[in-house]
Amino acid sequence: MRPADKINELIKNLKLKASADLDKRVHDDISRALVEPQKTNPAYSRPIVWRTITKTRTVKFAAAAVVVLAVVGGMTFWPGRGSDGKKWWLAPSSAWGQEILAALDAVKGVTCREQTVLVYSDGSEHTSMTWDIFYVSHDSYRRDIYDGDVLREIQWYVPDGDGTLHHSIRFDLGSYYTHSGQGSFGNYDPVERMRSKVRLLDKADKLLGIEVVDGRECVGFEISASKYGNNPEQWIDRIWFDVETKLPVRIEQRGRSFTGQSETTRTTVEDQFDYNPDLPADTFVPRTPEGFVFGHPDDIRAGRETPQK
Amino acid sequence: MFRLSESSFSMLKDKRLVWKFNRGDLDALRGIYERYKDDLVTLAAVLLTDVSSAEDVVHDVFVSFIRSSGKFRLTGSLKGYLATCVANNARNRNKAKRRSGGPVLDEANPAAADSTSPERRAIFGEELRQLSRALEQLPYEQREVLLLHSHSGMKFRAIAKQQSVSINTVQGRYRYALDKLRSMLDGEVKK
Repeated sequence: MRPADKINELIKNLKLKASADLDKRVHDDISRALVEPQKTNPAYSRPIVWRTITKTRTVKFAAAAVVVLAVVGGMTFWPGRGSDGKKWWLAPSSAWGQEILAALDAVKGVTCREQTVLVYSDGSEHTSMTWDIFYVSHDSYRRDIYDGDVLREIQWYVPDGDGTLHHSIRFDLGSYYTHSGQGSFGNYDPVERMRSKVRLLDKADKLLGIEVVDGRECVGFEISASKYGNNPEQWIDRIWFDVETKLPVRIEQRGRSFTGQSETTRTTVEDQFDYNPDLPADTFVPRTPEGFVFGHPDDIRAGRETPQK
Repeated sequence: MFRLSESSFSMLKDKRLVWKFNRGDLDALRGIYERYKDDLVTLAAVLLTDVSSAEDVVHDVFVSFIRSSGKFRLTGSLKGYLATCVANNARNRNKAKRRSGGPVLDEANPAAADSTSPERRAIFGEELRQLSRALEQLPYEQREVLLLHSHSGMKFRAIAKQQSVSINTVQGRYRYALDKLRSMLDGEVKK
């Protein structure tokens, strides 16, 4: 048996040389760019940011405000305390953030819906036909994936000794795939994602105010994803909390890039949260329908796409 | 004495090249091309199992890259960024071929898949030739993950972002691809 390291080493050693023809094509294009400077931006005499700031009064004012905020760094965004005690979100987030975390810790299980919305350059939107329902308990996770009204796939992550069993069934392919691994389903866990966002609320950029979401009075916050990880500024997260229960009602991740289409962005919406739902006992028990064949979906698809000789 | 690691040094060098490129320095652009052309051609060639298409992909990627001068923002590694562009372009070509009914990489392509083709014989040694042939047997998605991670050095998280799938899916594809490669290569040895 060859160890993975050996195969990785072999892959690293794969090396082709670019041909002289490719070199010529690329260098010709670069030279053309040199004689057609309008296609590339000329060298800047000063950093572009400085020029923008000094040209417009509004930006100048905003820049000054940023400088002031930077000087008093560490100050929380939220200016006041709720005078009537009901507007808890106006008080310092250090207090109510803990309350929300405590409320989340008390959650034994949750279900929610996740959808993807494509936002085009003209502002129009298209909601993807594919959407998910998540079921999460303290140690198990299940994701039902739908194409429109049709259930396409179910994935389970359940405890398996010291690790996790991942089992999935594909109704569209009539197949199942299963394997065990280390770790948990933490990357998917919506409750854990909520916790991480709540911990960031003292860095929120905007208070969105009160709005009725899914029939409940909610308060919304907006935070740039650049506040966590190495993410672009234009990635914006919005989270809406129920004013009464302080539990999240809607989470939006906006402005994400969409593969292959630079003008289109992707928004992921999680909503229809149901906390501590009464779920059937077998919700987290993986199953395989009779007649389903074993195989990774990639292989099953590839096998079917290969023309029969 | 303080010394930069090789990867930190490489990253600094990339940042400097990108900084110059954004200011219209075309020698910096040439430097970027020379620095990564072989890796990118290799990546595209293994993804597409066709060297001439691979060179077209790399050419396309650099034509687009030239146009981004002045507004290009490097947020991760430059090699990872260019590898992502190559992988996206290769995937689009593969889809287009599939739509037009032409031969695609997961289908039989005798000229490309023939491990004894003069082109490949000249390029790879016996062991790498076996590997190259085994890589072609993998489903496209798994091959892409494996190459982006092992050959281009991209992190699983970055690949997941590029492919718009979860990190668990990417890790699953990687693990599955390695298992299959291992058994295929062992099979060849036992023959």
